[in-house]
Amino acid sequence: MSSNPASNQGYLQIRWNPKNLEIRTKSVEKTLEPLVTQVTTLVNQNGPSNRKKGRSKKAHVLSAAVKKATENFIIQGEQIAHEYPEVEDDMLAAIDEVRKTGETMDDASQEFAADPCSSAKRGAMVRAARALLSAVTRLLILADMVDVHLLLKSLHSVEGDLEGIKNATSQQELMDRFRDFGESMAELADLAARRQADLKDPRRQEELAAARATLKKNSMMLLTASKVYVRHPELAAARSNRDYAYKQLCDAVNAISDVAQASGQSEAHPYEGQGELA
Amino acid sequence: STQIQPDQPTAVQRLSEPSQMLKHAVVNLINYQDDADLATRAIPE
Repeated sequence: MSSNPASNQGYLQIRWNPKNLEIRTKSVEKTLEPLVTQVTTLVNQNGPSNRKKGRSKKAHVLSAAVKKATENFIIQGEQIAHEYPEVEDDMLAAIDEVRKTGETMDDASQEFAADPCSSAKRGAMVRAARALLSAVTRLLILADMVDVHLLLKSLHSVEGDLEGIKNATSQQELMDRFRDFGESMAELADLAARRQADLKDPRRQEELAAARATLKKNSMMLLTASKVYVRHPELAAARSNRDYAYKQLCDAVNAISDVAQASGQSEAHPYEGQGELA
Repeated sequence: STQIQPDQPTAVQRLSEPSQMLKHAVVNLINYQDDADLATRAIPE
């Protein structure tokens, strides 16, 4: 992916940097926000303890539960990595980080379980937990990039079908190409709608909604204009109509691609500012 | 396959539950000291 675009497999590249932990979607934020808050809060509570030393079997049970949960998370992550060869290397590197930080967490938690009133051991375990959860964060963000990658693949498929429609020379060929276009559009519509609902940035949500509306509005227009053009290629107006609908669809596809890969803060539209009286 | 079905969960959705489980396990363990402290207070020396 964007870590080294030159060595990318496949034809699609994502412009994000996987090292950047910016959260773009509500799904990732919803999963991670309470997690980060809780660990930060616990770190802040850390202080010297004069409590009596103790031992407990229950702490060992809780420690084993963390180990088991880490293993489950890694298994699910590996399944996803193997399903998508284009991002497998990045995913496996992130999973390796989860595994390493998980092992450190396991060591620290066992020491804590043996002496649960030790403030120092608890502090060490909390630091290990933060490292583990940061690695989990990175993997979730990579998973989000996988979802974007699928959306971009679907966009690429629609682009190919649009090109086929543009190059069709007979009514039969046109209808065949349009059937393919309809199938890839249905998939793209589903993915883009889900992405729109999940995006945190309201401006980007609106941009995506506008692009989806353009796709919907111009798809049938492209079919009608293309039919006329194939029948009357000598008419300049027929060609002009077909080209207009084609360009609208290409622009919408590009807009979806830009929104899906956008990072950082979106810029305010000039019309969003306050009006001024003349 | 890289095809996605409308009802197929996204990659993030597939990782959401295991990460929530991990979070709960970590928080339970870190909060455990509170239980130990409570026991210390409940049983005076």
